[in-house]
Amino acid sequence: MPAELKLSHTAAMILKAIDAGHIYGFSVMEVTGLPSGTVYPAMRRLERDDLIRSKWEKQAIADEEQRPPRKYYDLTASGRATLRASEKRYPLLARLIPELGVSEEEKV
Amino acid sequence: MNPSAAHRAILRSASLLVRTEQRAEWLAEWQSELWHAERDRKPAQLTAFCLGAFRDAFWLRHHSPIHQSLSILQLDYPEPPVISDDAPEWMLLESPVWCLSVLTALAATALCVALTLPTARNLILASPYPDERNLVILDFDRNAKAAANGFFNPFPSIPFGQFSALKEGFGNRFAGLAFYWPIHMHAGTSRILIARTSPELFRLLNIPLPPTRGHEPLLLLSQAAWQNHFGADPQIVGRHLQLNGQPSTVSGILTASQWTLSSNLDGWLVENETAIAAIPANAEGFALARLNGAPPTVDTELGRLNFVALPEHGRWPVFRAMLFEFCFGCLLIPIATSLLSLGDYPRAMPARWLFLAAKTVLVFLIVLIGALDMASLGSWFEPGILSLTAFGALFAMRWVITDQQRRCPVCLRLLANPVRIGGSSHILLEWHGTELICLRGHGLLHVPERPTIWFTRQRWLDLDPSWSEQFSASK
Repeated sequence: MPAELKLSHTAAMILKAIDAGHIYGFSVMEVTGLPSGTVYPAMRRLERDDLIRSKWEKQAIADEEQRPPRKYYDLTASGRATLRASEKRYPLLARLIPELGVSEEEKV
Repeated sequence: MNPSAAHRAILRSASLLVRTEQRAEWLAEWQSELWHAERDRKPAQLTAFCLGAFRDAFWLRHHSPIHQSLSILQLDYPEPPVISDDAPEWMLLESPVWCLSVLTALAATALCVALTLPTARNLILASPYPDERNLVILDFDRNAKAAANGFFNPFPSIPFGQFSALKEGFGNRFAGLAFYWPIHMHAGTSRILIARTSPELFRLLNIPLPPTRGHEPLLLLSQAAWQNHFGADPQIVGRHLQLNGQPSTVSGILTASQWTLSSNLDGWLVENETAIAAIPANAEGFALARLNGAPPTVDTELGRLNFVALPEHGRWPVFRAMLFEFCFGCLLIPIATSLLSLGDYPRAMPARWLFLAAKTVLVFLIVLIGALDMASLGSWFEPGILSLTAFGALFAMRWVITDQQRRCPVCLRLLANPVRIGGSSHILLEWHGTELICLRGHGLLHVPERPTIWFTRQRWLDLDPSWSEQFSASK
């Protein structure tokens, strides 16, 4: 996937949200304000185009916290490159999506 | 059902749209997300959250290798492949087989519904009466208009006095003449609509009657009355019932298919001729006759007597009127849409025309039977059925044409990836409009945004074999 690939604003916002540490679908919904019917299909498209990748949480962690395991997403190298290009195209993107203090990725 | 269970049921329903090999993981992800969403969302918000799963499931279902292979082609497009946030749910109808299957299922459903509704069923099914051509219902001029339109007149119109005079004066011109008088009677605590009649009526209709016992009249019940007023009692035949204080013997149940003349009778009280002769002369009822040659001309003070054959009361005039309304609805299509032309195609494509014909036939059946169903459900049968047919034809045939215009003429699948090119304000003398592509690589469709003298209708462009490599994954 070339780095100069142009994303729609919605897709760029979701990519930015994941980069900012909102690494699962419901969290992306909350921070972007987009409905589930938009966020999940968009994330599948991003994953299909190798801009993000998904990974299931370890069962042991979920069992310890007595909840079902979650599917987490993070950016691939080409996803990061595409996001940088999109941030130039949509300068307000960084303001729309605040960065999380501690990435939840560390839990995985 | 508690909200949590309802939300899980929604997710399970949506998961049926996902391909089997992806379903378990897809469902696990959504259920996990729901578990977390339930912590800080209200039930209404959770419902909206779960309903979004259908869109996700549709997207997954329609992202076959065909679509994925085309992302290669889209790299040079002005808009990137990720823009299609509005995944087309209607793509279930993309395949011509699916499209025809859905239409067939709709037609079959409409037919099944029609068979459960007495009015619609009587119009669709063949008459249960032998020699129906010679059976006539007697009617006066005042009801002739309704009869000429083919709609059954449910109101009694022949006074018994007139019937008796007719029987005396012209009895030899008929092979049989029978009268029935609908009247409300009390049977225990129930008030039911009974037709007082003679055995002659059932002889004309070829419905066998059990032999009478003594002087008690026989009572035949309709299936609906037996179920609604007598609790579908299997032992009811042979029981003695008091109707308005007079005894009668229940001798059988008539099903809806056995009696198609009028649908609202609860029963028939079969009396001897002496009892029938005591019916008041001004009591208005129905008269049925079997013709024995040409019908006589009978003028009375109530007007000229009409002899309306049962088929004329039945299906053909109704279907003729519906066919006329369907054609009328089709004639309105040019007013409702500017997309009437099916476009210019470089060569004859018989499959395309066969597909159009199949869709038209199925839509025709759906509209006609659907209108029959809906009109049968209400009390406005006569005006309702014609209006429903005309409007149904207008909208359904408009869909047929629009759907046909957006299909590949080779594989008959819906075209995809519409790309808008140019604009009338920017390139005045050049082509501008929308291009659609066949996902199997058969060609491109150019749809002009505004008809011009050099480009009036949509045009199909066949893609040559050099393109096949790009679409190899789809073949």
